[in-house]
Amino acid sequence: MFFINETAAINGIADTIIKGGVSLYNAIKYIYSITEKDFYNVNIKDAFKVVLNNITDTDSLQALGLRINDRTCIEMQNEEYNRVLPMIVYSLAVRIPTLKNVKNGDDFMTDDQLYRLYTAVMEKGAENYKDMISETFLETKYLVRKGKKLPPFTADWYKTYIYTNVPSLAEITNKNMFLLGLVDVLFAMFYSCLEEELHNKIIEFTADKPEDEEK
Amino acid sequence: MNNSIVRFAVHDNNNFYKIDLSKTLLQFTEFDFTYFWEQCIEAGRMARKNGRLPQNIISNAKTVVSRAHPFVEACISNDYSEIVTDCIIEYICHSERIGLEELWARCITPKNLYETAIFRRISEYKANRAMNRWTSIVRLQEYARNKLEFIFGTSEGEPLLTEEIIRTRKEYFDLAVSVAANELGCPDNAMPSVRLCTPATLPNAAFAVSKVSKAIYRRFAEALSHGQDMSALENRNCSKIHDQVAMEAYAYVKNMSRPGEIDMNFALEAIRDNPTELYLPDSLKAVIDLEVELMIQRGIYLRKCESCGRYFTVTDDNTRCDRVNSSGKTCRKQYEELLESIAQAAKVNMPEEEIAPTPVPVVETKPDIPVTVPPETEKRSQKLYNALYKRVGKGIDENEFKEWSQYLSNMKRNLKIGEATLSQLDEFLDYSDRLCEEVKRASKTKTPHAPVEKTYERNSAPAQNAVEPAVQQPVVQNEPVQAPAEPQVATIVSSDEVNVKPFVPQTFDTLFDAFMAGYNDDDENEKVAPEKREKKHVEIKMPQWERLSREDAYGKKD
Repeated sequence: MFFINETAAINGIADTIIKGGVSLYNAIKYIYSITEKDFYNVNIKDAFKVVLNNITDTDSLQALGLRINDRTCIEMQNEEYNRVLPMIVYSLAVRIPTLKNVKNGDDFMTDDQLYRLYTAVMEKGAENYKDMISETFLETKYLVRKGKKLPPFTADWYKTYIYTNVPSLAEITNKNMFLLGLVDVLFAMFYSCLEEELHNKIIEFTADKPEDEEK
Repeated sequence: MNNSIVRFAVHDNNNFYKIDLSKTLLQFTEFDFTYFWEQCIEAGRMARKNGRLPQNIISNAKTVVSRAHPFVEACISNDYSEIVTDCIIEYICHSERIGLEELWARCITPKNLYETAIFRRISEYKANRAMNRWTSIVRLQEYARNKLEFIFGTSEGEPLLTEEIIRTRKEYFDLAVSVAANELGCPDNAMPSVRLCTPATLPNAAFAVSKVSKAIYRRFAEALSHGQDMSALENRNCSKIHDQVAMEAYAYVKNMSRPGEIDMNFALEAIRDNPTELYLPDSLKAVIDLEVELMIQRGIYLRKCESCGRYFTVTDDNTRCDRVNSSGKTCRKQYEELLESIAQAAKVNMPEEEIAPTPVPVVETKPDIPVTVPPETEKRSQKLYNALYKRVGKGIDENEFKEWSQYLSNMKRNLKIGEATLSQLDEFLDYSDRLCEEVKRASKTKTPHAPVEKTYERNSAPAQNAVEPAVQQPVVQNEPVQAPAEPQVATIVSSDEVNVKPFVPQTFDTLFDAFMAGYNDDDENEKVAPEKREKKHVEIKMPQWERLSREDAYGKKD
């Protein structure tokens, strides 16, 4: 695919993916904090609307008065849980080959461009801790090339990780049960919106094609 | 100590504020929010253009609204800090006929600071962290008016209200609200309330009485530094463990001895001027209710003025207030003069043989006819407003513009209540057109505009602007071209004509005027010169009633 400035485009798209990951990571924390004392004040539907309309705004939920701190989500303020962020970014990075389906006329991203994008994201701190995420870049690439349907983006790896590595969240409590229900819905919806955002971003980077090139 | 002053404090503020019983309430119920509203609309328009709310207009609007009530003034930096945004939100919803949900969804991905402000504010409403303070203040003004009317209102022929009746009415009114809240399942702690405190028992006492607090802290600093952290209680329901919490705090100071004389004198100096009683209301409604309650407790009552229909504080048996009305006099003085004139007219025109006092006839004024401003006039005035507003500080200074806009809004208000006519408004707008031209010219040359003859002042002047005729008079006289006054002056007989102002076309200073007016209306030749009219002999005839017998009136019974 033709970009005016390919490096800038690759970095820009990588940034969007990273920001999306951080946004999802924070959104989980913000929505989890509702259980502390805002269960009847904040409508979860509103929270979803805000997050999904501001995919790259990592703190958009502050508008609803939600805060992340030791009081509201102490269970998530530990080293084990902090590893979730690079894992979320990794789970998004391995799906980069699907961007091949984004077309600008007949133009689409080459394998090389996709790999460079994947590398850029991985360099910014993505990590598959203890191989919790079973999907890989190559596997996704293969499925896309074959035109096969990808498995849905789910929170299964997240829940497995929580059960096995974060005892404060694995405990059966009202708050933790709320969390498990929440992530199932949030992951799927968030990924769908992020895909759309990435499509727009890619088109944006190709939009201003110089006139002489077009001729 | 003044019996009519009480003091209150609010959360998140270390100052004390005062309420002048009855005056504060009357001021709030009569407060005109028009200027504030106009400022907000202007701020909204500019924000739409520039993408951010203009801070100068916002601070100006907040200053205006904080004059409505001391509680608003006290909370203008916290609870009422977003009142301008609230007003803009309300205006958008109202003018575009959309709900809050739709506006919120429109701004959910904000593109500029203005949209962010709206989105954040509506999000706060949705999460029960705030409410629309603008709509709330308007509703509370209506609430206060209704409450006063319910408690102090009297119908014609009703005997004077006793303390017992006033208290019963007040209790009945409050009870009605409580019953409604109870039936709707409203929890107790959701209703407004007031706490009675002293400065030392305020929630923020340590900061409100900071000097003495610091001295106390120094005495117990060491013990307190090892104390148990109780901040975790903030998010818990402590309603059942108040005593326990207080005793845990007390445990650290229980061995306290009385301080030495120097420290005690220092405390005395610091505490001496503090109020002994301090109320801590949690909302504006609570303050309004408190004021009414204290008024009744302290025997401060209100009465409706029989002339202007507005409430005033009762100081004696008078039924008229001391507000200056459209005639430039107070209702009380005007009424006294009316009575005097009636008595004089009765003396002058009474046949000599009729010495026996006759009952004073009641001069009934024709009810004022309210006029609605036609849309084209409204549009014209709006255009003029915009044109002049743009040039504030360039061709017209701020005070002059304020005076002009106040005059315009008074004129419109008077039209609505029937105290002015459309022609007077048109005359004022004609003057404003000329003024606008001058201002436009002046703004180009960056000099003050040339004086414009205030022709409308000869015939009209809205109520509030008509208070200082003695000051305005010489200025008018000094103007180069002065058209002769309208013949309307001929109908004014009062010795101090200069004080009489327009918008009272159907009221008369003396009985003589009333009869004269009636006489002229009936006269076929209406274009009689005013001087002739004055000289013409007027015969005042008493109505001649024929007494009918029962048979004449109803016919004979079968």
